Amino acid sequence: MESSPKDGKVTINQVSKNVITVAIKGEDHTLGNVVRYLLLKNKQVEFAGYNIPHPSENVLHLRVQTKQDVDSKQVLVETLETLKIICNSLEEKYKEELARFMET
Amino acid sequence: MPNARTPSIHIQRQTFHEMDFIIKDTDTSVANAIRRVAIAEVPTMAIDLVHIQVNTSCLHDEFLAHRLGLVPLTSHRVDEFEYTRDCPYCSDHCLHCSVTFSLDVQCTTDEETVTVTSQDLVNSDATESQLAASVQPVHLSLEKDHMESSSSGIVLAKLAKGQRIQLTAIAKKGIGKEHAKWSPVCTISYKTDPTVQFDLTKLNAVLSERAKRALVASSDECLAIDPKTNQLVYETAFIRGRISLPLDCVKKMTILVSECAGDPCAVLVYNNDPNQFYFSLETTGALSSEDVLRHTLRVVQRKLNQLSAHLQSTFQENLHALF
Repeated sequence: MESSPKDGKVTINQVSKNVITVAIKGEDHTLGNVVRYLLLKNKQVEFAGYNIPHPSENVLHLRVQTKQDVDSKQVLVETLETLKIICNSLEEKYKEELARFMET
Repeated sequence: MPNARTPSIHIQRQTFHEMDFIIKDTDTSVANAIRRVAIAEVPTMAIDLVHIQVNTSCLHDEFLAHRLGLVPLTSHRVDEFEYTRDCPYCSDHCLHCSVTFSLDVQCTTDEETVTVTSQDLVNSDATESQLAASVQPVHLSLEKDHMESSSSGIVLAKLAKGQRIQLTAIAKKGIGKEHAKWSPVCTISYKTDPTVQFDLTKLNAVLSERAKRALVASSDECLAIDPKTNQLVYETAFIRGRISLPLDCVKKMTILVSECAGDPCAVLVYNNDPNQFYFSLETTGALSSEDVLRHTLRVVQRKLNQLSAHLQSTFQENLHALF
């Protein structure tokens, strides 16, 4: 499952500065839905959506449309960073909680 | 960082096989990602390749191989194994990416059929490597079953006189996305608090016997009357979050409570925190429940790190081409 960044996992179709469609290989609703949710919470995003064009092709299409003069790529990268923070904190809290639970 | 609302986690109950926990302050999408990753993307070991030397049982080879694949194998050291397809140490399979089991059972008696179970699987690599020795079949998932059951192990086949099964089975590392046999969980599910429910103590105090029965009739089996105390109680399906109170029932309640001179608004309880998820997780025995969640969170992180690395490198490449 490990792949290096050179595998062409991600292909980009940039319509303009603020509109972008990213095709991601090997990802599905697991990631698509979370990323879409976080994008939509961002005030600078006008539209965000994902779809899986064909069920037997392992490709996810993610479309991000931001407000004029906002770089959609930047917003997407930031969103992933936010998601990382959420996951890291969840893992930390799980460790703490597990330690607490084992004591009692 | 915008919207970096950090969820919190609380464990309610934990045994080797089961765990109940609550995740608060998050969204359905996050809860669902955790559930999906636990089912499909946490690696475990499972039998993947079977060489059949002798099979004179009534089950055909493919059937037997399929049954062997579904036997859970203890996978607490799965991280130390390589995936066979990208094992740097071999071109086929080796101790770094697989574990070999052998099985040879024959029936010689006329009186009884011989049962072939997961206990007949012998780990042939156990003497050669500690890592391989850590992979053993899970015979029965619950300790409770061990006590109560006279059988031992998962039944693979039954043999009549003269029948024999001799085979070698190779276990490999994999994920549930490829085949469900690699999934570490039997079930993992989450539920939220019901959107609308009744305050039953208040409702029981206000309503007459007849009104209670009328309410139960319109509740779509969410409510029942406890025969001992004659009080309204919730059905298990409602408590478990499988069904919810129908709108008709809420309307009926308003009418009935008003008739009995009570205040319907005081009885209604709204869910004021929809961002609380009650998870329940049950493992196959391949990993302990705490390990499943630990691995799950790590897999999600790895996915994200990989994706953002890919994205950034692709953005870099395209930078010159675009502008």
